[in-house]
Amino acid sequence: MSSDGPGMRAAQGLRGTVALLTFLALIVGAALFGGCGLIGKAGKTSGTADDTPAASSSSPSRTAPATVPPAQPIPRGTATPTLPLPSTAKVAQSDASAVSSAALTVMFTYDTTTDTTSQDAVLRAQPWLTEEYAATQREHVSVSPPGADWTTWTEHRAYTAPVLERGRDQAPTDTATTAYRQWLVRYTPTGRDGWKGTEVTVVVFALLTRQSAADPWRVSDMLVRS
Amino acid sequence: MKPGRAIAGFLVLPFALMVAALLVIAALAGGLPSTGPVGARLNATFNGAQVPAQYREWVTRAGQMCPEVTPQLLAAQLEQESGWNPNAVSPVGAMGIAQFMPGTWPNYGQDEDGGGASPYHPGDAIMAAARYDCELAALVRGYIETGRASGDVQDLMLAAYNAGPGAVLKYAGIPQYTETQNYVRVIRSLMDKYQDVIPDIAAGTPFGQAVVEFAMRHRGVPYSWGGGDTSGPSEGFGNGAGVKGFDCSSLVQYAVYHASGGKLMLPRVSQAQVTVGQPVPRDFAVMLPGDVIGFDPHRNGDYSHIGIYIGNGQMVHAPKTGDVVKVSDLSESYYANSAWLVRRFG
Repeated sequence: MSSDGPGMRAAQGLRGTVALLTFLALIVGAALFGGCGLIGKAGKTSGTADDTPAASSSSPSRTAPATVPPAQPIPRGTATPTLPLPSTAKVAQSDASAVSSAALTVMFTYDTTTDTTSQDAVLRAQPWLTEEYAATQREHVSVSPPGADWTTWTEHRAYTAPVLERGRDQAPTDTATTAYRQWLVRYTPTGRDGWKGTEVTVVVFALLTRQSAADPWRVSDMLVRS
Repeated sequence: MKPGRAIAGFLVLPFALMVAALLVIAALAGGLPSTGPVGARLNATFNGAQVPAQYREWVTRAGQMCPEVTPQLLAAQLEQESGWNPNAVSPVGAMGIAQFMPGTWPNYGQDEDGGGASPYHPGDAIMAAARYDCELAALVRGYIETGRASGDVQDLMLAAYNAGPGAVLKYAGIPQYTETQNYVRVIRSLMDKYQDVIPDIAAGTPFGQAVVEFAMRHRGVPYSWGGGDTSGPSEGFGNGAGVKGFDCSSLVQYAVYHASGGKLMLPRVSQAQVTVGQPVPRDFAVMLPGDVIGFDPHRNGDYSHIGIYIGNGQMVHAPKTGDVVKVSDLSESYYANSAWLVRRFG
């Protein structure tokens, strides 16, 4: 798109005020949405990178594509951290609060010396999840890197040791085979070099299920909120 | 073309360009709404002042590539990805300000700044990030329009960014992957830093009255445990799954967020909401509409419910499963016999 093309079409096809308004709309539309040449300066033909936008760039089609090129997956961690974690052998399996607390403790215990993303911690929590929910978590292969905070944590060889507080908002009533829990999960990345990061708090809604009252509780779904 | 029209066009052109230039400057300064009709969950404008100055124009420009990928969304992603560090290299090999993986960059990277395409050139990387986002947004919008997924286009785009579009298609929405849900949540939270929410309320409305009005507008909306966020009612969790609504604390969070123009994001649960803000005594002579009341029905320190005082001894709240957002008298025994903590936020 060029800025004079739409303008010329408007001048030819319309009259008076209508022509002017249409012309302005096209110009403004091109400037705001077309990304075509009205912002920034002309691109350089040589030289080094510049922090100022250049003249033009192609925009993706507004027609929904059938697919997009696959993004490169983020590799998973290859080692198991040595941090202490709850064990199914030591937690009362008939206690939905204890099981959900343990599951979330594992899920939010990160060790950047062994983990590449938080997904590694999610996978360690599989013994606390229903088989179906665990299978869902296993499917996930992240294609977006873990981000700036994680990179900083890694530089400090940091880990987390989450502290959980039971959420007290009125939850649905438990049945023999379904339980609802809410937890505030707080963790502060702590470097092995003495560094401490900013505390993070999330609220997690957990659904636990079991086949019968004799079976152990397992987490079958979760919702994370700010 | 007739000569007269050509002359008219010639005369109009400089004026039109001037007007267009002024509008572009206004957009760059964050003075125009930057959320398009498709991607807008909130009526918000881009707050470019929060973007490091050297990247402001790039973000503004990249944020106009498609309606779903607003400058504030892009800014939130860039902060999350690299903390605005153009030289960032992550432990998994992601590169530059937009943290492109080596295998992904060639699909989207172009030379934007005349220095050759590089993920370490901020302009190249920011434009490539928007290009990638926009392709994902177009893809998931197609899923929604053809009934293969449901939800907000921006949310699904972010989910696809983290988990790939195949996962969004498989789950017909945001996948049940903990990491993916967390990624969407983090970007949504960071967006607040880069946008000004325009309260949908008469200018000059006092803060407390605004809190009341934003909650009262949702009378009749179902209670949904885990449901509700800053954009309004949303599907809940557990027995709230499939029910679009609010729970008690999300209604309070929503009303205060909007009354504050998106500047005040309360914690998500009652017990934490009653620990912030300014304490107010339990006294109707002192309490004002818009004050928030936390309830401890067993007087054991567990604040398990919360509502918004509307005056005349009444509150608006989301009571419990099976009920709806409604007005209740605080003289009802359940509330009257509870311990209260009253807080004011503006």
